[in-house]
Amino acid sequence: MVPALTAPARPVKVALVRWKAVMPLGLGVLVLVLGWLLLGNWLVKRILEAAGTAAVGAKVEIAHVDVSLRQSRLIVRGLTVASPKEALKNTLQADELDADFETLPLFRKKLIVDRLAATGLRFGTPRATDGRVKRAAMDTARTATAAGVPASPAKPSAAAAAVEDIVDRLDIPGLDLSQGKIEVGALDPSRLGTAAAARALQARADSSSRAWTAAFDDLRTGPTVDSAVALANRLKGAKPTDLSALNDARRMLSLLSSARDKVDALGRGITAGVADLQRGVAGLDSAKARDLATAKGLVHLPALDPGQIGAALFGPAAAGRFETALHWVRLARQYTPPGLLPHASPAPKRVRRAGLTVTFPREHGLPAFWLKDAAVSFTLDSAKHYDGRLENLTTSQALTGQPTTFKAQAPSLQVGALLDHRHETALDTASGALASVRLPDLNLPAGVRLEPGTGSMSLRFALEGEAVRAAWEVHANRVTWARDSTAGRSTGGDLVWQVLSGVSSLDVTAQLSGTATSPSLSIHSNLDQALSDRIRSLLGDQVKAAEQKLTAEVNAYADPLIAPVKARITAVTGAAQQQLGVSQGKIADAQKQLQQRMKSLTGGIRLP
Amino acid sequence: MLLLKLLQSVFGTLHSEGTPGQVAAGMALGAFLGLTPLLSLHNLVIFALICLLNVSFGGAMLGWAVFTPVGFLLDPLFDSLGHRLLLDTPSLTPIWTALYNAPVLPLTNFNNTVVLGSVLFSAMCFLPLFFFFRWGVDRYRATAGAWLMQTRLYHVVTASKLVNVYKWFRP
Repeated sequence: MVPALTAPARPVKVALVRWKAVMPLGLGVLVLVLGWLLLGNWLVKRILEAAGTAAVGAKVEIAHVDVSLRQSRLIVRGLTVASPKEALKNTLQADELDADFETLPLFRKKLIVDRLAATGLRFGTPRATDGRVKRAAMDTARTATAAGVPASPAKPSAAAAAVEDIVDRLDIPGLDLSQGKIEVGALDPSRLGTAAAARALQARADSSSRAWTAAFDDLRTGPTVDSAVALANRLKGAKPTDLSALNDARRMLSLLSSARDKVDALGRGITAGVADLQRGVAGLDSAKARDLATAKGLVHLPALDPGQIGAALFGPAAAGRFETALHWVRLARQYTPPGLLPHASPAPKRVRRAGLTVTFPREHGLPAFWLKDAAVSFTLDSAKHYDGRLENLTTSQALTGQPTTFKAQAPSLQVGALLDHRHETALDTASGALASVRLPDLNLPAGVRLEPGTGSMSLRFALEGEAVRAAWEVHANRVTWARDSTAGRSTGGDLVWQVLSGVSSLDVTAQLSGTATSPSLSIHSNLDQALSDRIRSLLGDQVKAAEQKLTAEVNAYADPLIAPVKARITAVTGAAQQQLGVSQGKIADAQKQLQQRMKSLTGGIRLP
Repeated sequence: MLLLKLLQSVFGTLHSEGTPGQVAAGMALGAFLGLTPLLSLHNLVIFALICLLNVSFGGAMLGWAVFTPVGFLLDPLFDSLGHRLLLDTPSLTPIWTALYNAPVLPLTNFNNTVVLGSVLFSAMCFLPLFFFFRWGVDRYRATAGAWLMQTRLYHVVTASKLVNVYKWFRP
């Protein structure tokens, strides 16, 4: 069976080519061809599903694929693209995609589709299973957009991360009235500022006290006053002709005058210091007031401001629409980078490490993907059919020189989109307006569902660089309201229901501005004022009680800190002012005594 | 079963009528298959070479089997090497751009960091591996080969008819 081991002697000459293997190899090629004929459609289907799933971040499923290399034609039937954000929803479904592609570019690994007819497109349809997939590859992907620029391990950009959590980034107030009660958070002393202010003021008071004491010591007025009093006593027995005594008296008066000036200057400093400390005391009161405001912020009030009512009611719905628009725009930017620089993107997952796939576009070359012209037929409102046109969808607009555009127009519909990635700062805009269509239901807080019925809705969205501007408007004249029977009944919930159920028209305007990383949302509706007044009247007493409780807590915390400081300041300023008065009094008395002695000695005659 | 097949392949190859050079060339080409991602166009060329050139087919299968796990282990190195060449060396960008826009070549997936890194690594290792394998087969046949043929293990392993598969492409 196994040949015997031969001696080390080798054949003198070994043929280079194994001609007898040509036939098996040819058979292998034939098997490959047969395999393609039998399994080619299935293979392309799997490839399209895998690539689509990786690109969208949600399951892409295809019922059937028919590919003909001879006719350069690809037909996809039963396409379903799940929503990457919502578990049981599809982004779109299509009955059929019929594409004519160019064969030769396939040998350059480029897919150029000259014409596509997409029919039976439906959006937002329900699905039975969760179609979202984890995009681990994307999260760990490394990107590099320019050769020569060291590519570093990539984290999702801040803006990209914002796509995933724009709802969290928006400050949407809550309107949880399911219990009919307000909530009060725990008071955290570390968040209050009175203690720090009190400590600082105490330190300033101590410092002032030490400074003033030292200043009084430096004045040394005591010896001067004592000398003046002694001189005045000596002058009692002096004669008018004792010029020496008179000269001494004059010098002493001069010294007393100088000492008085110094004491007065110190007095002015003490007055200013006392005023400063008094301002500090007032600052303590302000700190306490701020702490009180902070504490009152712990009262989780239902939105009482009319502006907040709109945000609380429609904020999540509006943010969801903006988030969806931002997601698709961001995806378009990811797959259509500007310029002609090499672009790295994560390779499709495989058993071995996937690595990065780098594209090297060349001027006047073909992009990796280019859908030149697509006629799109889609359905909205379950019955109305519309036609649109998509042009120049590509992976490199710098090569095609044209922005991607989509347009659909009908009496009750206007949809347009422009993705312009030809320049350094990308501009993506989309707008859609629907009139007289059945609007989707909205689940609102407090267990209320809005069924707007037939109405109009519009969405405008623009992302220029990272600056975002968007608006969502809904108008309906015959709205109906439904209440979630599973939601807990409460006074507050009943109130909301009473207010809303009496409203028959709806007018909502939501606007998004700022940047993708720091968006700002404002919403107004015709329900705001009515609901605000009713909530305020219902919950006013609870709010008052909660605020009183928190005020008492802040007082209990702040007053023991403030009182000793105030007492210390009173003591320090009082002592300083008292010492100042004593010094000034002693100097004045000494001056008076000396002047009286001189007057009696000279008989009131002013000496030169 | 897999281990048995591997042993059969080892014995069958080492005790084949092929010269050490044929066996070594087959093993080196098989190592190329194992080190690089299998489903790449260049591996079709390698496989065709294994079939058409008068090298040991069993040696190629043996090299493939042995070096596939090595390829998995070295993937981080390949990725890093490919990354450096494709993205971190601007002077090479014109070459990659020309290759990327040429016919057929993009189908080889050369612009993937792991593929490029592994192909270059395998190409660089091809001749050293060839000479090493040839020396190894020479040494084996001169020393332990004759003794091993007398052992019971050898007869048990080679008794299976599976071993005959390799003979279809025996040099």
